[in-house]
Amino acid sequence: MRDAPINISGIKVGVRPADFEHVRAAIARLPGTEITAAEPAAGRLAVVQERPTLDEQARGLRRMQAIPGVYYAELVCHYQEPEEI
Amino acid sequence: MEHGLSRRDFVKAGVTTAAVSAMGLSAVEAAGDASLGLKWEKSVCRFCGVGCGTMVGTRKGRVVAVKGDPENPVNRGILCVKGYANAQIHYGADRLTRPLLRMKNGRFDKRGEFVPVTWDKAFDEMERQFKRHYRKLGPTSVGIMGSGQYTIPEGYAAVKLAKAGWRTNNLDPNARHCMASAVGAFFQCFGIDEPAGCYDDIELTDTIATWGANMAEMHPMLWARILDHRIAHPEVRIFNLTTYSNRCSDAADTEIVFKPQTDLAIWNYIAREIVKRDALDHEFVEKHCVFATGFSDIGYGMRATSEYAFPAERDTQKRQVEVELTPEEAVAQRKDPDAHPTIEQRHAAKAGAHWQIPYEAFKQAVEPYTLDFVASLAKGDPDESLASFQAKLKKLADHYADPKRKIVSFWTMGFNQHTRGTWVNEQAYMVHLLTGKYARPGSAAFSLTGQPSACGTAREVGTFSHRLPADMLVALPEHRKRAEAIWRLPAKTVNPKVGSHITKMMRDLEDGHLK
Repeated sequence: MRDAPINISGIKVGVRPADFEHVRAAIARLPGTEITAAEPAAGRLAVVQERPTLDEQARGLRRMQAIPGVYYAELVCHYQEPEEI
Repeated sequence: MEHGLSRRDFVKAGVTTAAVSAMGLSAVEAAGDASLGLKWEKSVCRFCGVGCGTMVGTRKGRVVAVKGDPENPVNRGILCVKGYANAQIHYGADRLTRPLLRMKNGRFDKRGEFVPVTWDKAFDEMERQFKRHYRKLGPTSVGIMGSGQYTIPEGYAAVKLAKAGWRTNNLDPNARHCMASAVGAFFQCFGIDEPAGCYDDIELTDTIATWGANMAEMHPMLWARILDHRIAHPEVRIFNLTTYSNRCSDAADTEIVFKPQTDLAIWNYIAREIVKRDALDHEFVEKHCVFATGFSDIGYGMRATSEYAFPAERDTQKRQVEVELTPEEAVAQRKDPDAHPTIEQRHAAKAGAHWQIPYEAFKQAVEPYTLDFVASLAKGDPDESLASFQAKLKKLADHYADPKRKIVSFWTMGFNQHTRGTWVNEQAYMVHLLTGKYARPGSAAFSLTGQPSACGTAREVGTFSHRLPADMLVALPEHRKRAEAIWRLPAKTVNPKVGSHITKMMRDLEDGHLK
């Protein structure tokens, strides 16, 4: 039996504290994202993003970076298993 | 539960744990296995100048995961968007996996098409061509154009092969292109080619000024460190000096958009302000500094002949011989701006010459760079008012001049690939040294590297035409002797003549001296 393809990344986001709630909501609206930890005082979010392709992973990260109030959004960990191995 | 789904859940829990851990906060915890059940090896991302530490995870012999190495002191467990490509690059359909040789009718031919061949055939052909030229023209007819992306072992092997084996010093990295001006300024100012700042200054400073460096996109891991520091320390101020709005501007307290080339005038304005306010750190300056100057009629390092120049390069090439000053340059050089003075470039061969001057002469030299003069010259955004631009320049000077403020100036190719790159690097050191904000925790004038191993491999391993390993130089007999002893070579094996640097190698190729 073939395993389903897996393509999941973990992302660290640095946020201007004044924009924290707005950024949290905007990231939550992006496809395939889940906010797994949030620290408003430190301006940090941990996000897990699941997308079907590598290009869409990178595009998702770019979209997070473009949200007003996001200081940075960078990759922590990426797992991609395209087929059964 | 299906096997595929359970593995996905397991992976997701592990990725979640890694992401939460990277937040660096003990208050938040996640319960997944961040190892994802994989075999992990340490590696390095070679896509840019930061050289982030990575961990590469394999499953059944295939790379399936990558993460930032939490133990790496530079990137501290995170990677930029390029990290996504680190695992998959191994499996790209267009990856070169076997030797290709240009061939026609079954034989090597420079005008032929690429044909896959065996490694034996590739090496045999390289050997044949190498020996043909080497026998005819000697060691200076061969060379290696290297890279600042070399690992240390790769670079060391290249030095040993070229300098100990082929007896040529024609070995030079493209790091020369990125950083020649930075190196020129290091030698001019400090007599040695190494930066003095370190990344740990980021967490120790209260002011950051980026000059021609879009760190948010080009050194994103360092930018993330700057912004983490700023979130935790609201008193930290960020200035972004740039020729266009970029992502650094989003987080900067002050964005200063200037016209290309006018950064030199801005530095002189800051120096003038420091002089006028007597904001020098007198003790530091007296203990550690001298005032010096050099020739300004030095051309631009172009070849004297126009034989190989592209049409678009001809105007620059003309400036190798003589330069008509702009009105502002004329003012700065105490000449009549209406006379359109033309300066013959007489000292191109002595570009590095310099001599000591008294402090009074330095004061006089920066005197023309008033706020009015520099703001009119440098304002780069036509929609910004002159008053607004002036206020920003003054604020910048306030931060450099304030003895209570620490400051780190970061720059990269905006300075280092400038037509006056050496000068603008020297000016940064000028301001930092005047105020004693140099080589102290939280204060540095910092040329960010363009390649991750431009220091480690290119400089210290010596993959330059003038160097030997361990910061030794081919021109010094005792250094050659030491290298020969370490490499167990007969005396006088290492060629004593400095080889061609990478630009000279290109010129040697044009002239037929290098094959």
